[in-house]
Amino acid sequence: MARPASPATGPHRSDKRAELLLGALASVVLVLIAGMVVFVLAKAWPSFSHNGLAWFGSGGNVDTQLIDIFNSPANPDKYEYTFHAWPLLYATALVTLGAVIVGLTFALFAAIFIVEFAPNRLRAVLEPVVRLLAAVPSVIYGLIGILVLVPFVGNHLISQGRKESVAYVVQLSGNSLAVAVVILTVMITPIMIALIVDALRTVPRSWTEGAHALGANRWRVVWTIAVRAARPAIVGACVLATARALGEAIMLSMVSGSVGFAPNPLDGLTFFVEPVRPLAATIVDNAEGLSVKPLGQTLYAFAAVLLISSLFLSLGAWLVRQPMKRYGVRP
Amino acid sequence: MEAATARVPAARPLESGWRRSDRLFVGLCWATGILLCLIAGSLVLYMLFRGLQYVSVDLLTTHPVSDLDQSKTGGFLDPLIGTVILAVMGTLIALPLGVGAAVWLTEYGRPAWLARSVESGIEMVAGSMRPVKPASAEGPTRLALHTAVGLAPIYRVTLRLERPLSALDQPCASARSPIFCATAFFT
Repeated sequence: MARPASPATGPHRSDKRAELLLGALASVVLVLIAGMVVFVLAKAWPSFSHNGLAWFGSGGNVDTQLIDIFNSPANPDKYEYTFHAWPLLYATALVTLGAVIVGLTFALFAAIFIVEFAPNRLRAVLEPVVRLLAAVPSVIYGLIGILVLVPFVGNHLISQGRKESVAYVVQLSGNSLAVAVVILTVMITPIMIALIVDALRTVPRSWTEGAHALGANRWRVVWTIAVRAARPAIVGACVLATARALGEAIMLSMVSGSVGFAPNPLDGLTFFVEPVRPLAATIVDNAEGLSVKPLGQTLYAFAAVLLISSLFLSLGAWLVRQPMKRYGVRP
Repeated sequence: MEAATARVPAARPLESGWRRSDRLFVGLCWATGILLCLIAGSLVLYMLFRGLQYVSVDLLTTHPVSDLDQSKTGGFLDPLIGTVILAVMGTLIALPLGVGAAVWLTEYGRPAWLARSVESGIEMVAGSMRPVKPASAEGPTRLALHTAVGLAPIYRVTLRLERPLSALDQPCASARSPIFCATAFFT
């Protein structure tokens, strides 16, 4: 084609076509997601409508409620739906928040180290290490948790006296909040490190050079200029990590104990070794019971809660990022 | 000239020295970096040490059989093939969708409301995909579709971060890490 490429005709037209095609692909993705949300909400509706707002409250034992739902009579009018999800919601929030807060501090320092302080040789090791940790499947983390950490905590960190002191309420076997948070932190930190490292690298050189020229030391420059400019990306990294932590199922169902128990912070150190039961892990635990209709609908209700909270998470992060964007590096 | 110099305030000592807190934080940076290496190293070593001693070519190439004695049921050819099929199918669906959506978001994203909702939708599904998956999967197609949607955010993130002048020739390069991640989505 020897056509003269004038900006008004040739390339512009194909650009328009590319835009339409790619926009259509993006819309397909959006429609798929929307369809999935509607599907999950429609499936989940009976569980919500039978319980009302009490669904989110506490009351009774979650585990026996789940068993009752599983054993509900075959007559659709007599389906058992009573369910109070508070211990599960609380456990999800505890595990997620714990992992994200610990993970963020860890990821921030690690990212700064990789970008600014690591000697070249160590950096060459660290970057593949981060990628490796991010790519390890969650089952493997769960396996390590159940084979190594859980027995260690159960046998060495929890004293017999502590076990007996709460034996009438809950058994302390090592499947615990602390193990869940530790492994989840190891799982989500690499994602945050990778995102924050990339953001720190995109901070304009002139900004940091200006600070160096004013006589600030390397740490001050990174902390006050680079990290500050990268804030939108850090928020974005937190959102992705939180979303992943919210959705983590297999590993948590392996190490968290799967006992519908709400740990009480007033218990002191025992709090950390008490078992929990997050929402996503409960779905995995009960996956075989899906053919029982009311149980299936209850599990879809969990999925709906997770989806909606992720949506709010995403929207909230977008709002938080708005004022930061002015001087920040694009995430 | 003299007036100008007179207006300059007396020079304060520059904060170029390393304060104790600065040193502490740099120390923390070193600690986290080394800890990261230690965690990854122990993970790999543990898996190699505990796992590799049981793996043999025989085990990888035979089909599983049913036996009351669990030690004789070995052979994981079937799950291996299954993993490969799922990964390939998922990636095939994910590649055009994910890359297309990602390029559109980074390069065009013109009706802002549409771009905003695609972005939120993707972020929403990025994490919570996994628990929904076992609850609603009714076959390999569905699973593959979900992976497709789940992969999109990864493409998007990689694309956004590498943000080249023309993002169109980039997907091939940046698709490598998501494909690597695809296996993680199936486990």
